[in-house]
Amino acid sequence: MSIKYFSLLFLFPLFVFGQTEEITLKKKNKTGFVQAGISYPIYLGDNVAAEVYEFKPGFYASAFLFVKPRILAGVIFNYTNYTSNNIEVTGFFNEGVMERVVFGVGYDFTNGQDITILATMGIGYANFINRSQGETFRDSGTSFYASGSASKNIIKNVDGFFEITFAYDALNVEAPPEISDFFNTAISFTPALGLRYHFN
Amino acid sequence: MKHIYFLFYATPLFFLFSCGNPIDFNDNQRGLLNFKVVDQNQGPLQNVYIESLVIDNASIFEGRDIKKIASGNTNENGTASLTTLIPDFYDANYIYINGIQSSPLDIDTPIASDLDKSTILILNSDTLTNSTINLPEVEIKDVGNLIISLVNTIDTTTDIEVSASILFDAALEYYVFENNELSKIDDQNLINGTAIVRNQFSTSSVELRLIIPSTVKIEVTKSTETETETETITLSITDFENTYTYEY
Repeated sequence: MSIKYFSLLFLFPLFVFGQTEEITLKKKNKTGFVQAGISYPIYLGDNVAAEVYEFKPGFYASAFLFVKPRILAGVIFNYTNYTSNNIEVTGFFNEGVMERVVFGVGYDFTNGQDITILATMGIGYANFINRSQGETFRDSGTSFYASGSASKNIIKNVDGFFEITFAYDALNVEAPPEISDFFNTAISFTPALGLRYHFN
Repeated sequence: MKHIYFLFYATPLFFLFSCGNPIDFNDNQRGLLNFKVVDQNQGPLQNVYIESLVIDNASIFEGRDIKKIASGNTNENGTASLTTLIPDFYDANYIYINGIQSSPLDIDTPIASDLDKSTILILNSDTLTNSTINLPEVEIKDVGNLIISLVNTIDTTTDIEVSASILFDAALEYYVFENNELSKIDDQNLINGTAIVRNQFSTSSVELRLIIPSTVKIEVTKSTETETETETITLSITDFENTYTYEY
């Protein structure tokens, strides 16, 4: 299941950028954009998110404004469900939701062309909301992120985009020293693809 | 004046209804419970299921709330290291070794996960926090079944009341964990039964699940209108499947 979604994430940009049509539409004087799509986080390292949680495809959305011709500022929201495949290690719960809200600044390398390449970075809040026996509790902390995206105009103000986000979540879980590090870090790459709407 | 009456009655009602919120779990907290489980020969026991739960008896409206905080199995060394959730409040923390909660109404008699082994219930008096609790080594034992049948062999047409008390080594042992020590609080079960026997060869049977080897004491009292007779029998049980018939 996960390989299928992951393959789709990489096939979509080939479809978008593999077109041979001449680029005729030029976007000028952009004020910003909103975008939304699906994402699939891949967690790395020796931590609970990478070794125990099984993530499902999630939802990714962001909104950015151009504060200068090439400089953007905005917010990113990411939402993904997961299950725990080892209650012995995590404590008694089976499922949860990862939410991340980060504020960032970015740079547009293409400045209004048909293909847009952006890089953003920022800081925010990561929340792993665990559900157990009808109750919820959180493992939360600060999230640092950096991302790169490419998009291509499809119709009028709408682009298809592909984005990869690297996130380092420094969580504030108080736990015995033996397991503290295991719960306090989450490192992820999150590919996402979807549609972007530009405000002109 | 009506408002004063309303407040007079509403305040305690509100207080009562707001008591007994379900047990919740603290954000950003975990604890650790460490175990070692051995058999009767002090050898490590693998795949012994361990479960820990917390109980809140506070609410008279919502009743008892029970939440599981940790579960897992021992490894090939007989050890288990279980991460626990930390409840925001609770009245008691139970740990079942080779046992699962039988029902919400009966948390004191867990069902064995492995029916061939005894079960241990530990009442943990240490406060659950974001720290490690190391429990002392516990021993679980081999368990067998014993069927005891009481058979009337007296040729009688008058009623004879027979009561039997059976004392046996329980396959479920209770411990308290306090100040880093395990203290056994109960290790024997007592079954009492009474039968009114009218006919010859009428039988009363009971099936026991008990630690092997162990000792069973049966005290049988026969009563008629004119006399009472008591007899005590002691059985040494060494086999896993036994049927003992006591004829009276």
